[in-house]
Amino acid sequence: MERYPAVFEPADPPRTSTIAFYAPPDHEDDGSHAASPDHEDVGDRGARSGHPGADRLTVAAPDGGRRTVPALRLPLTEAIPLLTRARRAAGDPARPDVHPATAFWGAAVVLALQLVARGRVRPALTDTDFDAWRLTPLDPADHARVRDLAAAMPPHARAVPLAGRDPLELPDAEPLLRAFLDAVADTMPRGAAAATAAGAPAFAATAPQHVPHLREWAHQGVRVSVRIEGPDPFQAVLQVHHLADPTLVLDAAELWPGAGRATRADATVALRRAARAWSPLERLLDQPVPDRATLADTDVEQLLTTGAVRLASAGVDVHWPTDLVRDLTAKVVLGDDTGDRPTFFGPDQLTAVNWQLALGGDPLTPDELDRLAEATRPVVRLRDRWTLVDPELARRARERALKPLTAVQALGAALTGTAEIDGAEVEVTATGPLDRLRQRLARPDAEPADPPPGLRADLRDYQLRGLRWLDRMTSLGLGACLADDMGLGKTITLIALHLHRNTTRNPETPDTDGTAGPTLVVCPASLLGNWQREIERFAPGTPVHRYHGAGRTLPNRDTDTPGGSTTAGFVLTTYGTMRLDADRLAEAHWGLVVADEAQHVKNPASDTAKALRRIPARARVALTGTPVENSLTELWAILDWTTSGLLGDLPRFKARWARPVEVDHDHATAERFARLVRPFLLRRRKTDPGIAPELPAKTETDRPVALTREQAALYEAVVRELMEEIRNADGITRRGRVVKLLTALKQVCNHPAQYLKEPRPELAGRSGKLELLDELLDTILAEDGAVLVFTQYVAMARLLRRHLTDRGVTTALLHGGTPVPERETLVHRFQDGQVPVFLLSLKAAGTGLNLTRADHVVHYDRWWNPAVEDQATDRAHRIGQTRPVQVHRLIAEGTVEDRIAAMLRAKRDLADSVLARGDAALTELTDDELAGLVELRSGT
Amino acid sequence: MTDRVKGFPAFPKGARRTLTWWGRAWLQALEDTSLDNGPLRQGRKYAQAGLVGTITASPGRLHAAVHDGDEVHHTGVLLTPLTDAEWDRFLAHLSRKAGHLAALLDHEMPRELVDAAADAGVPLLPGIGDLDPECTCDAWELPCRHAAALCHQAAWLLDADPWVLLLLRGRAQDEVVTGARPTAGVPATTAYARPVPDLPPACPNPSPDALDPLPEFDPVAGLDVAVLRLLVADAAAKARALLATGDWPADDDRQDHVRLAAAHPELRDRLHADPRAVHAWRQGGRTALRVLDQPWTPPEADTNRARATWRGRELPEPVVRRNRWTVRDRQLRYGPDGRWYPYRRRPDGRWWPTGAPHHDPATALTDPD
Repeated sequence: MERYPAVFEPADPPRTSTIAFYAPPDHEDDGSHAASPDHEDVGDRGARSGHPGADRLTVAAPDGGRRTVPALRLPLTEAIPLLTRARRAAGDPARPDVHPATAFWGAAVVLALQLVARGRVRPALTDTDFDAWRLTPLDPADHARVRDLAAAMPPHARAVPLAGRDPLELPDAEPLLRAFLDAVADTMPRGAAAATAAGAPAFAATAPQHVPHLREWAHQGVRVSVRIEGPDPFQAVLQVHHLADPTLVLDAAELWPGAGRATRADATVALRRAARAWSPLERLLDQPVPDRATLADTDVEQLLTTGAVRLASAGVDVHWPTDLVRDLTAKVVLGDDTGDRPTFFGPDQLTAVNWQLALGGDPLTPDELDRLAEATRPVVRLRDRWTLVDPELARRARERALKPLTAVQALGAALTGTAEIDGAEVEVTATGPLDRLRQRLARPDAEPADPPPGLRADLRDYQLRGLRWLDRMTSLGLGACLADDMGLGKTITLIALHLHRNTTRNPETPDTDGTAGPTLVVCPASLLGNWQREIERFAPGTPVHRYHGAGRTLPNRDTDTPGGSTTAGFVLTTYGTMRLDADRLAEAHWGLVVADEAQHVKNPASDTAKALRRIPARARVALTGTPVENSLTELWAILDWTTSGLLGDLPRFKARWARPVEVDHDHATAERFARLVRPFLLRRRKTDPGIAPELPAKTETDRPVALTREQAALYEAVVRELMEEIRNADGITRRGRVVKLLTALKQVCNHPAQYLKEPRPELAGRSGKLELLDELLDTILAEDGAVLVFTQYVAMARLLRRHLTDRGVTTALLHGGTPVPERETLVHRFQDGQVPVFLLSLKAAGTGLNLTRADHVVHYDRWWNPAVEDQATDRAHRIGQTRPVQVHRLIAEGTVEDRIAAMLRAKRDLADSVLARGDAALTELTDDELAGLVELRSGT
Repeated sequence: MTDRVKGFPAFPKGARRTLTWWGRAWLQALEDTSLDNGPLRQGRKYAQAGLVGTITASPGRLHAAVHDGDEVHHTGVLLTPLTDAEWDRFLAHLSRKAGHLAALLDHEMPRELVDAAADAGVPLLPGIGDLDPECTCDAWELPCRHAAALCHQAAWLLDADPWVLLLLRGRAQDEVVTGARPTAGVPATTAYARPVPDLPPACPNPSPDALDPLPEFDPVAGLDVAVLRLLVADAAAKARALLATGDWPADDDRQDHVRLAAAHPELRDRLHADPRAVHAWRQGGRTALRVLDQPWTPPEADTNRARATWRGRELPEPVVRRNRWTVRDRQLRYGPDGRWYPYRRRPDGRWWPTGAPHHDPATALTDPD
């Protein structure tokens, strides 16, 4: 039988297909040996039943004519073993008579069986809803074997012509071979026992089963992807993936012949949607089988720029040829090695920005760049390999130089590692001096600075490190924001910085014109006095000038400074005055402008903030005790003033940083932003491990405040009136009047409303102490601190409570009249952190109070008895208190409070003896002494 | 075969517009056909009033019941189906571009396809006079308002699903998709003239451990998917046997049952296989099964040679009956392949195959179970 040619006749379902052995019409023999194959020839196994020996078969002859020849049709159950043996025989040199067509189907059946032996059969439905096993899934190597075998199909193996074609056509080899392989696969799992075991005939019995109800079960969804081949020419090849088995990928060309209609329909519809994302795929849809389409270079360019992204978002992957180099990358390089090192960040300094292209991380040579720039195709031969070139990259190769950045912008880009180029976030790398500077800034300082000569104080270690940092940032012209917790000594650090800048030639900046020059401090009015005191105390000899109040003038450097220009001093002013006189202040040449409590300019649209920006300076430093990093817009306002240009303008800042970080919670952007601002922001907490041990358990600070105009007028009137009464009295009466005077003055210093006993007073803006208290509380509450506020007067405590409640601050009020159970509740609430501000009338601070949660104590007015004050302070500073306690004593400048505080400071021993009895001691003073004590003196 | 009748639920009351170009073409055919605009307008009102019941579409015919006052009229619209030859031409055009079918599957009618088919003499969309109304009402206009209402709603159906038009023209969606398969061919003379390369060299047969992990199938009513899994393994086993021997592993249905039960003990009950036969199959396949089933008389020479060996090994004296040599509760059966198949008598009094066959009777007799 093997000497006759075999032909495959597909049928539906596949297992009902047949193999026919026939007498070839072109037989050159005389017909004596093989005109009519019959069962005698089939051999001793199989094919014993069924067909008579004279089936007829219509085949196409080599001349294109149609012939009907004698044949023997065998079902696959019989053909499979027969062909298996024929394949073996064909390999046997002793059996030269196996017909090539039969040897071919023998090879095909062996291929099918080998795949079935690996378990590659799956149930499916034919287009007509019959049950059919299919030969699937196949590996790429299996598909290659199918293609190779199909290429070797002899014409006699497919001699049955297609219906309805004239002239006659034979079926294409590969679809016919795949149909045969599926027919074998459909035969193998079935049999009598299979049907018994399955209990139902579907997919088990040999007889065709019509099972439309299983269509959905058998149907596997598909998705498509596009494989690019090329580059000569580029082609798009459609690949089909089965959703149920992601490893199963078929070229459409392989899938189409054997696939069921549902699979083809799914794949076609998926392709149509892909073509909407990238239109060149429409070319596939114009073909009968959407297997592959040639792409123009412009298509590939489009695919590289936008197409692949759009396809990806449509769920369609693009696979590029593996032998095509695709790791051509571009990054932006800042600065260059040859330029001068950037030492001062003025607004005019520019930094070069260039695209640097690299292949596999290796920068391209100028020659390679030129070749890339001249490329007319999306592929270029670089380093002996085809390299895929995104047109955007080619453009970058042509236009390597980008718009230069200002030095500050470049530094920002170097710190974040990214920059916005043409509206897109691009990775950048700094080189040369810029990169070295970036590394230096990114590294916190290990070395503390040497304390400047002339500073009359010992700076703590962290203060020296802060000084070094401030010095470096300001001498680079970069500005900085020192945001240490209150009490860590920002003022004294700044004073040290001023001295340092005016006495040292900075080795880091040898080529600038030095850092010397006057320092302008802008601060809330309530802090003016404090600044002046601290400067006078820690930098004696340094000129201090208050630029405040009526008739204010700026010091003339030549006339106001003793010894000419050798010692530059401080000018102190308030935010209000600065806003009015910004133009005048702008005319001076400031070595340094300092904004204290810089949260006052956190609203960038305010007139104050705008005015502050108009004052030029060699360097700017912002001081604040509030954690500005919590609101990025506030942080922007401060850093954009200290280091203009670093963060960009506000809308861009919001779009690039604030929104991603605060709204989207984009971790990567937050991380980059931190890298950007960290060098410009120094914030130490009292609780930081390196800081806490350095802090004393208790720090006491006098907080001088100026009287308001109303207070000053009232004060002077009281002095005038009551001094007159005192002079005209003696004995008990006089002592009583002295006490009355002192009480009245203390009340005026506290608040005019207290003295005047106004029933429903307006409180804001009338008392220097109250303003400073607000200032302190803002900072303390921002730090999550807790504070005790002591006053001798219950009336004042009530005023404070009303005022603070109006400002939204929760308070507790404890005084002598508070019932004991309520006291305990109040203390409990404070200790639990429910109430951050505890107002205490000093008399009430008797026994049994334990207020260790407080880390700040404010003495709103003075008892003038240190022992009593200490006792009050100790309420907070008890055993169990882990936080250092800061004590703030509010002192009205130029008043009796101030005078007595000075006495206490200067001569503690004497004061102790004199003042041991408190107010009572003062009643012994003579009229002149008393007048000198209570007289209001100018603060300056 | 695929169902060529499709029902569509009645449209609720509400105004609708025909938006697609093919839906408009359908309405245009209706308007061109009509001599009187009155019934057309009434028909549209009826359609929008939701007076048309469920619409049935089948080759050549649309049908629905239309309510008109107290009466219900049975209304139809006839459209000539395409002939088989016309369908062949249409399917040939459909197969020319994969995008045509994709568009139809996305429920869009490609204009290019309709034009190309029309050029080839295959009218897909109706033209003047192609929509032939029929109604049980006694109105004399053509179409009557009932048929016009049906036509309006049919246009809405077409808008959403152009396959309705193909169904009216004679074929269901599944048939069209199946028919759209392109069959590529080669002219016979070319095929015969083309030189054919040698067959690729044969690949070695896969070893039994090359079998993939068996697939998992979703459960479905009417199929035992657990057995389907085993059939994949069994197909692999049969394929290995064919590759090794050139023949099926079983000669008949009984052998097939025994074979499957031997390979998959979990199927034994379902297959109702004789347990002794299963033991025999495991002992030595179809030959062992024959030894179990059929006593035979070996040739004289074989018997004599066996007796000599038996004595030489000083084995106990057996009782010999035809090919069966019995020693107490042990028995050796001489097989047609010249090997001895060991058996043991079980308490049920029957002989059970045990152990493996050997050419040497001594080994076979002493082989542990």
